[in-house]
Amino acid sequence: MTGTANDAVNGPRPRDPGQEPAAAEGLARPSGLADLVARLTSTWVSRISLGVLMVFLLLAVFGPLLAPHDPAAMGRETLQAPSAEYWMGTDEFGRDVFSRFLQGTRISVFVGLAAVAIACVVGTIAGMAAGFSSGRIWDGLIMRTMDIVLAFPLLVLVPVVTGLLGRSGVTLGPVRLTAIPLMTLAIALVFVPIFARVARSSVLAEMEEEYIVAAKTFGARRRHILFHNVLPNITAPLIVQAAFAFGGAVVVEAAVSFLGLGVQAPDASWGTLLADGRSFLTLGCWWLVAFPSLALALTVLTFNLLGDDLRDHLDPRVRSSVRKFSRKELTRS
Amino acid sequence: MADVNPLLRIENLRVHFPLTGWRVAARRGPVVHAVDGVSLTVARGESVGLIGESGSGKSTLSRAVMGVYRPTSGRVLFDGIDVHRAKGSAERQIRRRMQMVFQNPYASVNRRYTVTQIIQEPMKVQKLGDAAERERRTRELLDLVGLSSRLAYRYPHELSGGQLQRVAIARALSTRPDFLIADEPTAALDVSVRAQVMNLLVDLKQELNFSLLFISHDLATVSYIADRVAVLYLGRLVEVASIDDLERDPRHPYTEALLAAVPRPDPDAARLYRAPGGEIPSAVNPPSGCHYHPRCPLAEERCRQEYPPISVLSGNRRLACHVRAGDRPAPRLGAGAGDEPPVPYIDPSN
Amino acid sequence: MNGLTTSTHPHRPPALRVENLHTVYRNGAQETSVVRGVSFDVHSGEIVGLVGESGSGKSTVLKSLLDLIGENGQARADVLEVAGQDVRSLPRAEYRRMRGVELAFISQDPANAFNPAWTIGSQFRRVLKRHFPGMSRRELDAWAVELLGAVGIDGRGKLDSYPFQFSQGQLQRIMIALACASERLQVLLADEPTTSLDVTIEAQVLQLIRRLRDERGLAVVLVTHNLAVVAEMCDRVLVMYAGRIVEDAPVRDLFRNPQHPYTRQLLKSIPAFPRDGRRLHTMTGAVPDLSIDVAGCAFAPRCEERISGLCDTIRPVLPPRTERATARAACHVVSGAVPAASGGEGDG
Repeated sequence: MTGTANDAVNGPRPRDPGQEPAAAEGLARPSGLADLVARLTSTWVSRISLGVLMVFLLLAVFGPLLAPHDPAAMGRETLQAPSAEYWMGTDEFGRDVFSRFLQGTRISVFVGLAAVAIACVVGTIAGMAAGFSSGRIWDGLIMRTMDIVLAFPLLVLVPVVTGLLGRSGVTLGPVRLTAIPLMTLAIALVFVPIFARVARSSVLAEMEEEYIVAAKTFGARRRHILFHNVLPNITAPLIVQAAFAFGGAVVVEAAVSFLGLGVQAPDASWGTLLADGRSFLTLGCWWLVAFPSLALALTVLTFNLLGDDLRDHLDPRVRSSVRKFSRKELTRS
Repeated sequence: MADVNPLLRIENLRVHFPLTGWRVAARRGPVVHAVDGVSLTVARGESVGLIGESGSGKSTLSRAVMGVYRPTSGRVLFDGIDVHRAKGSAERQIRRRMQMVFQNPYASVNRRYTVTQIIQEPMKVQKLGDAAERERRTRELLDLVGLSSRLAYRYPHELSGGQLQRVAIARALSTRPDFLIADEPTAALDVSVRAQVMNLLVDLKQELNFSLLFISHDLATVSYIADRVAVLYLGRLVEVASIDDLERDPRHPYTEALLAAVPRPDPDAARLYRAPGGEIPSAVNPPSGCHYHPRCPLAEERCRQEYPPISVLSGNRRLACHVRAGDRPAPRLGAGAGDEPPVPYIDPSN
Repeated sequence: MNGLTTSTHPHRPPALRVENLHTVYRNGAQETSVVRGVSFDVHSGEIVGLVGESGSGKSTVLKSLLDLIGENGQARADVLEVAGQDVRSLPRAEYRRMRGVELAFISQDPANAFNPAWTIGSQFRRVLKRHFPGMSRRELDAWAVELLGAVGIDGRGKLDSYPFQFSQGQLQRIMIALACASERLQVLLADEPTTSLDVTIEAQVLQLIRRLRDERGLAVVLVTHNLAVVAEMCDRVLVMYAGRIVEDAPVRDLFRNPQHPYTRQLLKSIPAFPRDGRRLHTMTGAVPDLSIDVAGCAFAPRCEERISGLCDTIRPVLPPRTERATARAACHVVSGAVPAASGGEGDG
């Protein structure tokens, strides 16, 4: 398009004589989710980790339907090695380990997801509030509370909460919280400060940006600035953090349940499966421990890889530089 | 100014920033005197240029006028309403009638918004019109700034700098303001694009008849659009004059230096031989007396001791200079080519 | 300036000679040819301006000369001579050593050119040690103070200061002092050295570069988008557009009698000072996309004088420089496919 052609139609106003940038013309970038998925499936590592993630999610949702046996039914064939009948063998009561593993997967994955979701929402709101009132009393109050929470080792805080309250359960009005929801809340509590810190620092960085000043000049209120301007721009680091946190949450759940302070029989999780199987390891019954361990390791690895990839792709500013760095970081952790 | 009822009146505005983060300490700690007692008016339909180097406080001044920064003292009156104290409908009115265009278009718009969302944001914030009306206004504005409506759903990174600056101008005009601040709107753009945006601003100003405060470090750009120019040095206005007076007969030695330093695309202009020496001092510890005296070739003893009062000269010029305060004809340094500098300039050391 | 070194020097080899430089960036499957066959030479004591808008490839030319294009870029040239030595045959490490000795670089952003964690003095000592291995610390410091003095900074007592304690303008001068520390320096490459500075400070820094050129006979390449800087600083100007040099002229010829339509339009779009009441010229079109190579002249779609059928099909070449014709432009209109456009309309 040229200036002269437009001038004839639109009068003497100086038209933007620039041709459309080529990137926008033919090769318009697909935006949003489709674009992200396309980029996340661009390398083998990310394709595999996305695949593993999908398998776990499907198992968590539909797993118990696929179970070949009743996970609680005892049988005469105790401590059988994996076979065509019992894919992951049987335990000391003759229960099908595969069926119990599917049941455990559901609880482990859901507890992890729920804990991260709660932590993310609460942490983000707290962090945004702190960041927005930076330097004032609310900021100090919120962030010092977060520091106090962080000061407790996570493997002490969660067992204490679930161990003290989980046995009897807690009644909050009409809702009765049993061991599993309590544990979920406890894990969420532990992860809140992580999200709060990320949210706060992201808000502080965004508040320095000129578009926030622009929003203030045309009279935008606090709420508009926070939720319409700041929030969309800080989701990327929060999503990345959520991916890393999920791996952590699953491990915490397993550890607490392993100690016998989390999920209680007859329910199962990867942690209880490990606890149950541990004493038979000396008898050579490796299958009781191997599969839950493998599942745990795969989950953590998958989500760390995914978190890395998300960090590379979601934030255009660090896309190129972070790639090398994050790989290094991964080998350290 | 002669205008008894100007649209914008800045009265002895001071904006100081504490260097330490804690407000308790702010009273005693070191302070940046970003804007230090500025008075200026902008008449209806007038276009005022504000010129200064980095650190002169010109961006702080613009943000304080827009009500983003609270003044330490002094006030800003917009059509008689105190910008920083207005509440309720008075505040809404101010927010609608005053708008701003920033230097870097990529930084001043939300990168997650489409062009339409960017342009509509002020209207949404101020609840102007319904969705259909805003949509219609967006098309109208795109046309006004000379952009194709095909760009309406593009994201900022898909536009060129010039196109995005047009979007930013459209956003500023969306609420039909009668006062616009343009803070170096062309400094981040390429030479050819710069001309396009300047012409657009000139045309829009003529057509919509808003008042304009045009901020720049480049005297040539300012003189293209402004009727009157205010020269800012370390948070204070040193000279205010019509652009004709300023070009013909700059009074303040700093204005002269700026004039001499204007880059000219002419191999024979040779501004280099007239470049003023010295550095721009820090706004934390401004020099005693007249802030310009360490760089000033005319500095006398009293310049080191007290800040010169503002004197009003003929033709409504204002000047803050001890030496040139008398309304006597001053030796010319300015725009003409070839003449020797009448005063020796300091060697550019320290 | 008295217009020196505008003609060729038959008796002396140029301090810097580049022939047919091509630089390509790869991004996945996409290839972007940023520099497309650039040739020029710079003699000692000459300041050559490389001007263009963003995307013209002017900065990439410098980066290519310095071997500073990243991993996804590739530069090749038929000839690349620094101080009479073809550096393409040198091993990389050897060439790296040459930079800072015969060849120095000043970047746009002085604040990022220094390591913020080290004092200015220690950064000076590290560089000076390479040039004068035998010197003691005291001698190095004395030399640093002397170098700083040459750029108008009183270095006494300031060697223990950190970069943040200096202003932008001072840092730029310190960077120049550091760049000129080598006594064998012949070529100075400056990439937008004053873009981040204020006008009064800019004038000081430009003056300094010019003085160093005069005193030490440096060959200077000045990359900038600012035509006013070019007018004041340069002896000869190369105008770049879309990765190619479209015009090469002595500075007076360029501003008095610009030949290439792009140069002419560019000059018309700068506001004059004092005002001349003229409306600014606005160029149509935008800088072309460099991932596509067009057959004809890259400027043809924006050109007011294009000859259809010729300009959009055959690419005009830059005619060779001769003793008689020192100004040249890569343009069919100028080179006489039609009667040459009259000059002089470019400046007001």
